[in-house]
Amino acid sequence: METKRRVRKSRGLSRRKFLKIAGAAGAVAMVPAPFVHAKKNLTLRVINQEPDPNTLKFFEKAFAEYEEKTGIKVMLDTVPGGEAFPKLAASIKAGNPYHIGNMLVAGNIMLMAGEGWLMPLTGMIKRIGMDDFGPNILFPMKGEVWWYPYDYNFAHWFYRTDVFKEKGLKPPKTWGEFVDCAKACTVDKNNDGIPDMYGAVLGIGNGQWVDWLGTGFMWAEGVKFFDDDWNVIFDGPEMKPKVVAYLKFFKDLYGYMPPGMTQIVWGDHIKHFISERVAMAPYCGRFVHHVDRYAPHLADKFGAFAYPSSDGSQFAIGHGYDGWVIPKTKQAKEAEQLLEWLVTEKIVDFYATLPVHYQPTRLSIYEDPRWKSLPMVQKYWNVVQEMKGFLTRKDIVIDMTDLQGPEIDPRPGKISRKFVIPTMLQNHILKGLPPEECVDIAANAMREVMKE
Amino acid sequence: MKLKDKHIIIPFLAPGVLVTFFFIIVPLYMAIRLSFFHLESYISTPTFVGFGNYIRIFHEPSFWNALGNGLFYSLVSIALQVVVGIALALVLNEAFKGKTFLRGLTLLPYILPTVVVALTWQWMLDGTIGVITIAAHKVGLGRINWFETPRMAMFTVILVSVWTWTPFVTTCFLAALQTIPPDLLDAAKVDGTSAWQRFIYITLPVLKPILVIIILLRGIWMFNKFDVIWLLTRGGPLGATEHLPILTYQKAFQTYDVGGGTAVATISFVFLAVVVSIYLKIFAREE
Repeated sequence: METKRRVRKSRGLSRRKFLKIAGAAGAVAMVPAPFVHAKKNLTLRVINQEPDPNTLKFFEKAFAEYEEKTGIKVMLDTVPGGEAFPKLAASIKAGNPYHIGNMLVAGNIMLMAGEGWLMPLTGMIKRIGMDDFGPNILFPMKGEVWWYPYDYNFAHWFYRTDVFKEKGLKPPKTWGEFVDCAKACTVDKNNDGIPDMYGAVLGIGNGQWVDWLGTGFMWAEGVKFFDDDWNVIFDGPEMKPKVVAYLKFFKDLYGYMPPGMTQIVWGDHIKHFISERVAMAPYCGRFVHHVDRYAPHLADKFGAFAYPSSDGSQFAIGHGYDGWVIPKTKQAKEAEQLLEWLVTEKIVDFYATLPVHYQPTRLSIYEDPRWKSLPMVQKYWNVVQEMKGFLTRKDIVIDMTDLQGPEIDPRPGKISRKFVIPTMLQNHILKGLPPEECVDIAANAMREVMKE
Repeated sequence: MKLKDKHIIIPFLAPGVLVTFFFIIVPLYMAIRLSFFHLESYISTPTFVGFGNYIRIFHEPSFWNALGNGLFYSLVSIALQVVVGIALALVLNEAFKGKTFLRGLTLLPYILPTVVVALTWQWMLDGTIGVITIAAHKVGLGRINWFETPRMAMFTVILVSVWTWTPFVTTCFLAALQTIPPDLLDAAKVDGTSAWQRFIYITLPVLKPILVIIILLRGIWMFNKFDVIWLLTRGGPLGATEHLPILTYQKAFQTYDVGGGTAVATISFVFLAVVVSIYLKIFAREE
């Protein structure tokens, strides 16, 4: 009996052994349990300011795929362009921050980084390849990169190739040529005293589009707002003559613009072009999508060029970047993993939602066969090549109001939001003040902003 | 109040009181509180500056410009709304064919969303293809730049405002006119009074209480009116149509000067409260 019991004990599963195994298995199961549990219940909140329906569909699909892959749910909140910053900042202040956000205005990003609110993304950028990024886009501060820029949003000019050809014109390379082109394209076909087509469109009303679309001529001319110590030099001996010349040129050009230039906002510049009211309009790649969608008859009748300087020695592009940031949260690591997955594995799919509007920031994307074969890229290959050339041409300056000064700082952004440049243009064009006085007023307004 | 009344009144009163407390009193308190702090870009830790924001605002020419523009805009547009509103009400109070249809039509501008009104007017006043611009050009008025000079921009926003909100005034006056017994007007006619005398001595006294209320309401609404001006001019050109609500918005949400923006809003609120109190006191005394 004793022997039988021993045999049963040694061969079979005793109660003690069962409990031991079960306990060990339970313990093993318990070890990863919190991790799995946490992943399953983790929700990352993303604030997005790219409201295009195609882009939103992409995010929906990509985040569903990510959830399937990792168990992490991603919620997307979309706001109109430019409005992510106050919402993201408010969410951080309220103690319930978004985990990822896409934003513009480098100054605001650096402001958040300066407060210690953002995760540095240098590691991720290095893994992707720092050298792969184009010029003037990473904006490092204190040795770290604080965002992943995904779109250059370059402001440049589009023109009607058919109208230019008919009138024997070429894309202007100096301010004089620009005005001549605008003059030649301003036509009153039915002689009713109101032109049917104007030379150019360029808003001068109170809005940040003026800083984006209207300042390129100044950057080409080498205008700077500040010296290396943040002193305003806009009305100094070197800059003032350049700005005065810019104002005079702008006033000349204004005579060949349609009425209502104080009223128009961002997309109205495109509308003027696709409704064939103007022969030249400034905008970024979004312009191409609008032409393709709303004025397909113009699809093969437009080209692109950069803002010229007065003498044609230099050209410029209005900067208008967008990028992703990761606020410091307990889930920052998971947020970074999601972002890295998005910008490595899904970036071409993201660009594919608006392929010509989103101007890639990484040079390798331009060589990626998947990107090159996108139908819109193929269809508008010449324009895309021109836009790509803005990144590599030696005679191109890439600048904007927000980037003025010796380092990235939020105050130049305020100059833009206080409408200093639009007011300067209005003072000269609408009020008739002498250009020198307009420059002085603008420079004093800049000084006021810097005092704040 | 009887105890049994309390059981009925309190449940009816409570939702309104709670909504007022949480959605009006608390935000108002927070806005006024913020106006005593320097708060930059929604980011920095608010620092108490006492009346610093107010002193700064009072030294800014843009504030006085905005206050002047707001007063001019509201006074002129109210005056025009009242004059045109009374005139229309008098016409619509008469008996004629199609009166009902015309009364309905008159109300149309008021029931349209402001965005629709502003965009439609923008199209109609467009410098190249605007139907009004072209009509003005055809009758020899030249090409009018409706928004491009400071004076014209103010004129245009007043024009659109009067067009949009006069129907409200007309409707109120029309309701008041219908309370005048026809016998009274007939008796006055028999006594040999002129139409003008009947208007001055019979109609206007009847309209006076409603006139007081309309001027008060429209005054508050026009002084705080943001949407139509923002949609038409964004306060431009050269600040010609920038009034206190636009200045508040620009400070708080465009330059992220939250303290300055709330200070402007508080000044605007206090100014309006004082004007309304004086106005009500004058008319209460007359009553």
